[in-house]
Amino acid sequence: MLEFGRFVATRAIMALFTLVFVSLIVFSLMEMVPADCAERYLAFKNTQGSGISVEDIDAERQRLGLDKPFLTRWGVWIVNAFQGEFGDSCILRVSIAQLLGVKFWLSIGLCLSALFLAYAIAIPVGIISAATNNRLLDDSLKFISYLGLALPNFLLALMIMLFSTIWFGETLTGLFSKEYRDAPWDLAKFVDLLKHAWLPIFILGWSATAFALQTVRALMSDEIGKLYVTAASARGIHGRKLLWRYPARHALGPIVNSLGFDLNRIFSELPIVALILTLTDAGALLIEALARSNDQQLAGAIIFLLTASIVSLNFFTDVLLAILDPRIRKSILK
Amino acid sequence: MTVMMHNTSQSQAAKEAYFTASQRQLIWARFKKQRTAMIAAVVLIVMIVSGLMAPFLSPYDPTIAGRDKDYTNGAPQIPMFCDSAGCAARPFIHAVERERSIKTNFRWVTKINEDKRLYLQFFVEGSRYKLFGVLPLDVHLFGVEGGKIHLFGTDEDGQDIFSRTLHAIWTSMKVGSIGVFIAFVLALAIGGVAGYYGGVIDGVLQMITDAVRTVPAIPLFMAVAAFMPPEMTAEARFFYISLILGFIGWPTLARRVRTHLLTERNQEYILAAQLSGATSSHVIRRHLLPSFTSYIIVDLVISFPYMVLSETALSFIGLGLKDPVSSLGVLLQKATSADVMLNYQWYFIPVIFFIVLVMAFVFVGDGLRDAADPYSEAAS
Amino acid sequence: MSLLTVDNLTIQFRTDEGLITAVENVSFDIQPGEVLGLAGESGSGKSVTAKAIMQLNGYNTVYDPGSKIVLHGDPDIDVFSLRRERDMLPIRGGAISMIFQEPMASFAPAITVGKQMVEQLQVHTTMSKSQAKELSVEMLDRVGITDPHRRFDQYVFEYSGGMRQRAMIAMALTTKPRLLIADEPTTALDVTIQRQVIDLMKELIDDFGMSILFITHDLGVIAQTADQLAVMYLGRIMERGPVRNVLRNPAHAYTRGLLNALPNLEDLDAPLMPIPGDIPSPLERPSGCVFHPRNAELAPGSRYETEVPPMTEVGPSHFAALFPEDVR
Repeated sequence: MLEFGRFVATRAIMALFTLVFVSLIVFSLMEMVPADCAERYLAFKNTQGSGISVEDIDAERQRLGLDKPFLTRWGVWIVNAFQGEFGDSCILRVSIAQLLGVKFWLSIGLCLSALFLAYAIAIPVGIISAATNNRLLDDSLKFISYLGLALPNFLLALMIMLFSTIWFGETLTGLFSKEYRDAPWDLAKFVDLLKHAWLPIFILGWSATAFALQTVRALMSDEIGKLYVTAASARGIHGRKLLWRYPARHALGPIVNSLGFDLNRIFSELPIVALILTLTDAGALLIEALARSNDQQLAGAIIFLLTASIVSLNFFTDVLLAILDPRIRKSILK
Repeated sequence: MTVMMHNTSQSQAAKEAYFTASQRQLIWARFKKQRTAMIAAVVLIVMIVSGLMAPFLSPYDPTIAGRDKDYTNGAPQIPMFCDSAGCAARPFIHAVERERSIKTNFRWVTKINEDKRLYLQFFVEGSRYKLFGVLPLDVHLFGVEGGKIHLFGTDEDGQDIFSRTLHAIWTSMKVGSIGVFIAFVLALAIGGVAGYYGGVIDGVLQMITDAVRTVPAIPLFMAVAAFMPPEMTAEARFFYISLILGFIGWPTLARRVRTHLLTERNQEYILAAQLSGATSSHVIRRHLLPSFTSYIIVDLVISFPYMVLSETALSFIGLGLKDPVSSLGVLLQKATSADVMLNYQWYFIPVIFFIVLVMAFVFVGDGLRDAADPYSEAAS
Repeated sequence: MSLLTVDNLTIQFRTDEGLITAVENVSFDIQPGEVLGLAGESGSGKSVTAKAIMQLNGYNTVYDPGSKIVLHGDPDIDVFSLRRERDMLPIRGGAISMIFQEPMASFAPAITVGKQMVEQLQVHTTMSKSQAKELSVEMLDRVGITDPHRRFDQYVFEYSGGMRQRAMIAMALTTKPRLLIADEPTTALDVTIQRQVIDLMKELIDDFGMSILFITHDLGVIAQTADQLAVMYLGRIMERGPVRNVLRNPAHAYTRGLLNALPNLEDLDAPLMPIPGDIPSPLERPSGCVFHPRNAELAPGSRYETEVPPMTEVGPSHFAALFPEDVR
């Protein structure tokens, strides 16, 4: 047990290191924007009519602590980041944490649901398609998964919008109906969310399902061909028991391994889908932050949070993998 | 001792050819057997050639300079052979006229004049361009005299969607190629060093690679792309986007290179080569590199569509390429408003080309992978 | 009364290049308590034959309707009449068990050895889990695995090479099969372990009174373990009979060729004499006697090029694929 604890601790430390390194990348990117926060805010104020001078900019800079060296600022940023504090948005002057708050959790919820949906479909279908000798079924499944690859999520979202506009005369946008948008959270709001959320979850899950389907099928195909399955068959194990206990169980490992990467892909698709469907989540916020206002503090915070989610998921899947695969488990003990 | 052989000299020659075939010939032979992959390859070549010849094949300049003021948001004009007045030997379209009068509240209204026929002509003289960027020409494959023909319709500025689509395919492919190339070079360098030397170097490089890989690509793209000043010229922008794509795409490829190198360098044939006195560079060049060239090529082909997809996504949200350069993403950008969806569905025609292009790449990549893997049964 | 009768077994496979014949008109029988060695080079069809007995060949297998495999007992089981997987239990792990060449690969990597053994018992018998466990541990001990209780809960990758082979044998024997099919069980082992495994198998034959269908390409191993020997080439049986007789007085040119190819311990400087030619591709099956293209002793234009020779008796219970006039 102690050894397993050591394994978990090692993985946790590695995850932390990864996050720190990522934060360095993100922070550096934020710094590369030509004008720093002080200038931009004041330039923004300038367009509103108030005049600024160089002294104003310097004073602002000092106030924000922007004159300290790079490493100090990074250190401060990352310590705060781990506590969920990202400072204030450059342009909006509102606490980023407050700005993101619920939106971030909504985004995570949507993406995780999409991931769950993807595998809920891909695992049974992939297993059946690999085990069946029915050529037609196999080929049609392959075609569907290819289609999923070729028709990326945002295109699918566009097409769905197109059809819904033409045929239903209305657009299926937004996560909430007008009444609930700013209302406090309660059961009714949650139900409203569910009523709207199925579309983004479906769209986000679309190519994730295509990928997962291909992966599961390929893994199962490989495993089914292995000797231990024939040997089990030779011992009289048959039917569903054979399929699930032997090849399926062993194909699970690589699937668990790929979860983090799948989430990464879904996160990548989130911003654009959010834009098309006019969702009010962190993904859409990211686009606002970058495309419209060049608010690098906000952008940096969002990217960091997204990556942190993935790193956490990777950590969990690593531990899960060690539980599932005795070879990994036992090799730590040696 | 006589041994009887019942082989004709012809099949003997075929066998000889098979046994002495080079790696490339073997892969090609296996690839040829896969029907879907061959069809996809043909489609791909057709698209590449049309992209290359885009300026020649498209009737008009795809930028604002070539727009048709008289026919904005115009529906596609399909050439026909017959109309209410009878049939002709040559295909034609009906002319389009714009008029404004008190009847229309002084707004420009476009009408189709069914009485006036514009015949399709080939090798028409039109706007100037440089074929392959070098040859100055002004002849276009087809056009119409005394008017303009818009096979896929026009957008709100009057730009011909057909011409734009052709150019867009080529642009997307150019960007994709450069991105893939950059990613490849980086991956080879980093993955190669990590895989060949192993140990601590490998460990450190691995952590870096994994860290970069963990960051979601598009948000990162967006962040980096947003930092490009809007005053950048179209060409510079183009170059930068490709650069960004490459810099973010290398981790996956690097990982593959590294894994492959790590397994291969412990193989016995490497040891044998080293024991025979081969230098490091010889071992790398003549033994390691050929062992995974086929895998790398497959990886490159397969990662191509992702580059194109990423560029399309970026351009779509306005952070990638912008007008006057046309890419599929730029084209799609105009298609998001409800107005367009309701009334001008032909804006979506480029989507079909996009899907076909990506599918073609995917099928060819898969076919190559099956053909290159000596242990795969799929191609046999 | 024999234990297993294989009669006119013909097996073909449906492939993209067409129908390939893997086994053609193979007939043999195994008596209770007897070890039949099935010898031949790669591609001779030995594994396919063995798998046919347990119906383990893939879905693209085509069995000729004239083929018959019968496991005698109470009642007789006609293997080809079994349709559902559930009905195949007696021939899969019940009265017939199989062990494979790669012991590591034949155990599921992520399930303990014990669990797999118990599972087999629960499928074939009505034992409770604890009873099954007890029997399995006993079996592990019987095959010579030390500390069997601990080993029961371990995974196969924690076993050493020879131990894995023994564990596989143990698992195959828990259901007390009457026939054990051993597909190249010693090929992947080094010589000392080979010896131990062969001795173990001989002991078990005496204890359990079971028969073994021993598939291998190693004539030396067959000489030590088998009672009867059948030599296969390209899907047909070339010669069969009591092992001493076949090895001492080989009647068929192929058997002679195999024996001559073995290095001569007495004359270390003698050159090696392989059988000339190569095994033809499965798509180009020779007509007549399948071995004739590589038979250096045949004169051109002989009968063997066009007609398939019958199994002619050349000694007591000793048959070879020769025309009667060629029996010496």
